[in-house]
Amino acid sequence: MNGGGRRKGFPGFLDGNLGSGHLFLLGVLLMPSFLFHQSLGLRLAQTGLFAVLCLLSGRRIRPLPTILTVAAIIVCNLLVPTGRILFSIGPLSVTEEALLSGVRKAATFEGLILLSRFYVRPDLRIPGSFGGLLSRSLFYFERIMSRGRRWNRKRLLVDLDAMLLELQAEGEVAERAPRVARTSLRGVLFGCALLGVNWAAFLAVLAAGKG
Amino acid sequence: MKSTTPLSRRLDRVALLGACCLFLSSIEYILPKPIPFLRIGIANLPILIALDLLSPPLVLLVVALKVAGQALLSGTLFSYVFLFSLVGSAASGLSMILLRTLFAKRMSLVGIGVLGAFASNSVQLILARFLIFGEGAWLIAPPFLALGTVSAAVLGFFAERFSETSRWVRAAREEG
Repeated sequence: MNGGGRRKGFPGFLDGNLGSGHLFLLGVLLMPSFLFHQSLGLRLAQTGLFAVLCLLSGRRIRPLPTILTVAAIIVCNLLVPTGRILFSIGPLSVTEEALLSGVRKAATFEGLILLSRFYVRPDLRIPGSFGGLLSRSLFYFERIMSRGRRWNRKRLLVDLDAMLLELQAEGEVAERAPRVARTSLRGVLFGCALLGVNWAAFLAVLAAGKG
Repeated sequence: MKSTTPLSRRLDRVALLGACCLFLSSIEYILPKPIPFLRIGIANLPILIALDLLSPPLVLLVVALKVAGQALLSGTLFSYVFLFSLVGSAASGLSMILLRTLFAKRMSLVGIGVLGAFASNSVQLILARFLIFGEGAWLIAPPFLALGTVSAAVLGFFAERFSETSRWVRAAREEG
C-alpha cells in the first residue's frame, strides 16, 4: 500500500461511524453542492472541507504532489489567454479569466480527488450485479487517484503498464476486505450536518446570484 | 476459442478498464479548451485496449461503466451532459466493436479509433442540433470533427503500441 492508503490502526471517524453504503450516498449527495455553482470562494472552502474529511477517514494527504498538480493545471490554463492581461512573465501573458478558470479547475479537480478518496471504501457494495461492478470500478478509480504517481512522458507506456499490474494485485487483496463498520447515530448526525452546511452554502450562493 | 478464465476475473478486468476511463476523463477535465465543448476523448483509450482483450458484451460493459461512473463522479446523471455522453459512448463503442468484428486485424486501432470518434461526434452533433444549438450546430461541426479525428488517431496509435508492449495485456491474453 502506498502513502495514499488508510492508516493502519486508525480506522478514522468516518470509517468507524458510517457504513460504506451510507458513506457513498453522502458523497453522491455532496457532489451537486460542490459542482453546480461558480463561486470560487465556496469551491475553495469546500475543497478544504473535503481535505478535513479525508483526514477524518484516516487518509494521508501528500502536499507536494497536490501543489505540483494545482500549479500544472493553472499554468496549463494560462496557455489559452482570455480576458484582461494582469501581468506578463517572459512571453506568457497572465490573463484574468484564464487565471480564475485555472484556479477553479484546480480546486474542482483536487476537491473531486479528495471527495472520491473519502466516499469510496474497498468494502463498498452497490446493489445489483452492475452496481457491484461499478463499486469495483470506483474502488480502482480511488486507488488510481490516491497514487500520486509521477508520470514520465518518455516512459508513459511502461508506467501505465506497471500501474495496471499493481492495481490488479491490490484488487485481489481488496476482494477479501471485510466490512468495516455499521452506521451509528453519531455518523447519521455528522452526515446530516455535513449535507446541511454544504447545501445551505450552495443555495446561499445561488440566491446571491453567484451560481 | 471460448475463454476458460473465470467470469469474476474477466469482470475484474472490466472494472479496472472502467476505472482507467474515469481517471482519463478527470485528466481531460483539467485540460484547457479553446471552445468549451471540444473534447479530445482520451477516456476512450481503455475501450480501444479492451477491444482485443474482452468479448463484445464485456467491452460494452466497460462503456457502460465509463458513462455511469462519469455521471456519478461529475454529478451529471440528470442532465443533457449524461445524455450526450451516453449516446456518444454507445455510438463509438458499438461502431468500434462492429469494425473489430468485421475486419479483425486487417484494420489497426488507429482506423478503428478514428471511425469510432467520427460515429460518436456525429451523433452528438445531431443531438446538439435538435436539443441545444439548432442550425448553429453545423457551424461547430468542422472543428469538432477535425479535432476528434486527429486526437482519435493519436489515441489509436498509443493503444496499438500499448497493446504490443504491455505485460498486463499479455498476461490477460494468455489467461484468455
